[in-house]
Amino acid sequence: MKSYDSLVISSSGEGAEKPVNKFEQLSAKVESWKEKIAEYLGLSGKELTKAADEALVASAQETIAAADEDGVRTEQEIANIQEVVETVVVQGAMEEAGLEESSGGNPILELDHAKTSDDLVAAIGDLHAEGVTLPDGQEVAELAVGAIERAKWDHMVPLEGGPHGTNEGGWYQDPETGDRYYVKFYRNPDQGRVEFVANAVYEKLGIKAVRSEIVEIGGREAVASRQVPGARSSSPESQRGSQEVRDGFVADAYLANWDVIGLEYDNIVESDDGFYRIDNGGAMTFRARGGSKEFVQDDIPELHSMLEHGTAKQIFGGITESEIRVQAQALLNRLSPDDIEEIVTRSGLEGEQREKVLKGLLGRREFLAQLYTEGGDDLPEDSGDSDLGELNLSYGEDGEQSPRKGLSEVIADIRGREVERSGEVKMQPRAELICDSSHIENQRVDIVSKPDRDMIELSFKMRDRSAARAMVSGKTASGARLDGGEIVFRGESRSGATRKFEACKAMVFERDGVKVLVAPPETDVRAMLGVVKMEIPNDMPTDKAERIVARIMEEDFGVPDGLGEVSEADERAYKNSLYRWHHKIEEDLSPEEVEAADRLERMEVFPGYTAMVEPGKHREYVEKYGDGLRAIHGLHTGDARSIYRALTSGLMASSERYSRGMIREGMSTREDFKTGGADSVFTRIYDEERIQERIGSVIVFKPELFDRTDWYTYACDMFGSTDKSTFDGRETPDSMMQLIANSEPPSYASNEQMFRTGIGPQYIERIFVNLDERDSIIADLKAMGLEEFDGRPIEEVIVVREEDIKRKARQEQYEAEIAQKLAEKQKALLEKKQSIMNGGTDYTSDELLDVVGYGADSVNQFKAICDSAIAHGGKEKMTAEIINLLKSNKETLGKYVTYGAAENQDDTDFIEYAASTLGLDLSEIYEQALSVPPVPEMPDESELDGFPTPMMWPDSSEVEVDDGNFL
Amino acid sequence: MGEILRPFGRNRLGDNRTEDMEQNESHERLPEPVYYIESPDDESVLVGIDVSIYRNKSTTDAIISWYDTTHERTMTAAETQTNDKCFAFRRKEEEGGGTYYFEPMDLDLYNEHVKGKLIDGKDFKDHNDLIDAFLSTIE
Repeated sequence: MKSYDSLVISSSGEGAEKPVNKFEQLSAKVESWKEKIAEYLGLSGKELTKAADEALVASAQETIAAADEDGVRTEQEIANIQEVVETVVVQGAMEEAGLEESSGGNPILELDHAKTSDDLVAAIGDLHAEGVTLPDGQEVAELAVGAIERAKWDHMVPLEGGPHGTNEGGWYQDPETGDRYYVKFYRNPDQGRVEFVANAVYEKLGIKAVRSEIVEIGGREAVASRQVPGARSSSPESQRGSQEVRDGFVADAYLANWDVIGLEYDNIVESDDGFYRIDNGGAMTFRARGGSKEFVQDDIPELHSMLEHGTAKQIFGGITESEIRVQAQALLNRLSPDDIEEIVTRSGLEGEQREKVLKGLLGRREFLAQLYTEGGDDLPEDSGDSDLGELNLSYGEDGEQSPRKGLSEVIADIRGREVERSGEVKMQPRAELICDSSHIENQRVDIVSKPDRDMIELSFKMRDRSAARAMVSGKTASGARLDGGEIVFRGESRSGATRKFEACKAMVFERDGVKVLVAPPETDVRAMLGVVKMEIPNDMPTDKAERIVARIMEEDFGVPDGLGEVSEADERAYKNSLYRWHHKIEEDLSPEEVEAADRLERMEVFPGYTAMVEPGKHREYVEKYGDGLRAIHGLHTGDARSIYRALTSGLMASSERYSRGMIREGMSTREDFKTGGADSVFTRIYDEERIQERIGSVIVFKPELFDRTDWYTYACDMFGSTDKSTFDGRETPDSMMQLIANSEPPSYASNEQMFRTGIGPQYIERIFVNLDERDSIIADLKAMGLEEFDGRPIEEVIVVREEDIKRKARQEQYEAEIAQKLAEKQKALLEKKQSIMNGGTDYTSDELLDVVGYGADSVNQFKAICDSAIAHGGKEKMTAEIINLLKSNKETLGKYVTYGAAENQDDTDFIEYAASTLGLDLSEIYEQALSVPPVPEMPDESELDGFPTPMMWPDSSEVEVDDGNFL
Repeated sequence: MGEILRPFGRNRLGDNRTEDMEQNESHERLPEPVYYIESPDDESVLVGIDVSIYRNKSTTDAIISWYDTTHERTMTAAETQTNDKCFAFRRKEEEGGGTYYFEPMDLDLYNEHVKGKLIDGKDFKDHNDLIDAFLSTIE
């Protein structure tokens, strides 16, 4: 190797402009080298590149060696090493990207050896952390890694066994790591590149598929796919039963991966962590065996054809419209046009193939976007009943996802809608507009039609209340004057009377015919914090309304383009922020968490209300904590009417009900508005054991409910408080479920979750009712027209607890035992009575009372028994027992002795009969009774009946209470 | 009826509802349908409808539940006590502690403590009308 020591290389190119970024800085150094070498050695082209590479590598090696000579690296030496190695990496990246004419090798690989590899890795890491890119945007670090990865194939060892399919190839193994790869040498290398694209798209969509890379082995291009650990063949039954497999249908159709299943169901393998799609070379423009096929650019005919033919039909048949819609929405959310372009570029496809694949992928994406944002005329028909038990989510009024409309269109739509009904309850129609970037809570404006007041009401919450604080001065930022007022909810009771609820005071102003009400910035009604309401008269043209509202938002609230569509960047930022809020993450998100946040999708979770959903998150919870945990909600009356409302309209938060005019009665408390809980529907998380212990009607929600990200949770009843100190102490979804799963009932019975705005009926799994009410409830529901729900007969939805059935059985058994004991006692009584009447002496006064009985005729009964006993020689015994009886009733006896009569006539008759028949001296008996010490009284059972024995409790003097009536 | 042949407090034939029944749990309801609830430690309580007490014999705690006209409330009591018609419990410290007092709702309590805190509380002249109005919130 030539020595370049004689060359003096300046830190930046002579005469060059000062570099503005790292890439320019380092590439300037490369240029300096090349200029000097060209001048010194007269080289150009590839030779110049080669010489420059050698010089750069030598410089790096010498710098490293010099620094390590004494075993210690100074700071300056570290900086020098970083600079020279990064320069090599930048040069290598440019050659890798084709921006520099390669000499055949890559200088990066020269440093990928024992003495310099650590510094090479560090330099690549630094360049990655700094985000250094080439002028065309490709990341330097990624190119460097790609170059190193490809080079490793020179060391790969082919294994015996040969190809497993049509194409030349076989298994290779990395001798250093032991990793195995299946390598295919396609006759047409483009097919390998297309396979690369297919696998990269699957990965982007979160669908398990093999990871591929384009490699060069022995001068030939191939596609190498890393072995799936623990992979084994899977049966058609297991594939058909796998939700994971089915969840990839739309992606398979999108990629035109006709052979995704394989003729022998061998293109899907099962591993320990799920099902993987392998051998995806028959996608897009290629058939499985290498022939070409049309890759339609403006349609996805495979959405139909793959459900009608071959092995794909066997696996995906029965997939529902709703599932397809959900998958399509996920694809649109996760795979952007930029992503597609980047993947196709990375594949190395060029020329006509590149154009066909790129246009096809972009065009098909656009097709899905059109299909699911402009109505569903072309949706594939249901090919059978869904047997997966998955959620059938709908979106929009007619079950179709609505296009993103501006405010004027939303207002026009909602003005034309009739008041909604659930049973006899009227609800004013609602809609929402997703807009803004970061000023409005949840990027959402709620819109409710109020025909009774001839207006449309807009409502949103400002995250930052500084505009409201400034308004306290009496004027808005635009100069509009503020008056005092109230935010009032109005509605109609069942009887037709108007009800109203003043939620809080408000600052009120008007601009161009739109009335604006602003909740005070420090109101103590937490549900109203940040609330802004705008009232738009029904006779105002919709486009004018939109302009005025936009102007008010910008000029008075500092929200520019407040009604504008949310940009991708803003949506990403919002998802990130929401993910952190929901999972209570304070530090920066990890890469996995960023990815998870990016996968959030907006879905309709309650009619007219959307929220970000983490699709499939509930499966993680099931895997961690078991399948038994459910959110539940107690229906207090649980009659057919309330169940009907739940099954048709879902459950609504207080604030949602009031804003839609459902103020049925005035007797509800307003406490939940103060705590903030009014914005949410309350649930509790119970396991099956706890659910069985509940009484009354209980709605049990599907686990898919936990996919929502607009809920928070406490380990005990906090009334949904959003007070900061309380809120900071909330549980995370994971920790809450862990507490329930790892504890015994009744621990955490009072836990609570708050789901924003409402829970749609699609989340209802079943409703428990009392055993003796079920039949009548079902009959009433059917009479109201509800014979089935969610595709199931209503009898499968309205169920009873096993525990109730057992309780009833126990109760019946208990009653049977009691009846038997009663019968036995009755028989024994009769026998005892007969014995006494026959003069027997084996009885006590209590037993005598038992046989006498407690009817109205007890005195005559006694007389008859007594007469018979005396007639049969039992007088002495009878006398003794009667004396005992009288002594134990000394008060009554005393009154007779004193006044000649007892208070009660029956007692008087008894005493007189006993005295005369048995010859008793009542005065003497009374005196004897008085000389006996009193027996402590037994507590009155009726006072304790059903109530617990008082436990340790402070004296009332120790209890601080305001009201002295208590304890 | 006389007292000699009908002794007060004595177990009668057939009055065996607590005998011979295996119960690992009990559900009890406070006798009145609506209670005024007060706590010096918790401002969120006010009205309790259908107050129930659930006990599981495996633990000394009691689960107190009621409907407050908008939501179900549930709290775990470390101790409970009754006094005449009133009921009280001390909430478990793990749930924040606090003492809660329940008194049967009547017109005086309603007018003085409750009416002003309702959505649109109206006047009542009759106790039964008052109770019916609260019970209508649970439909």
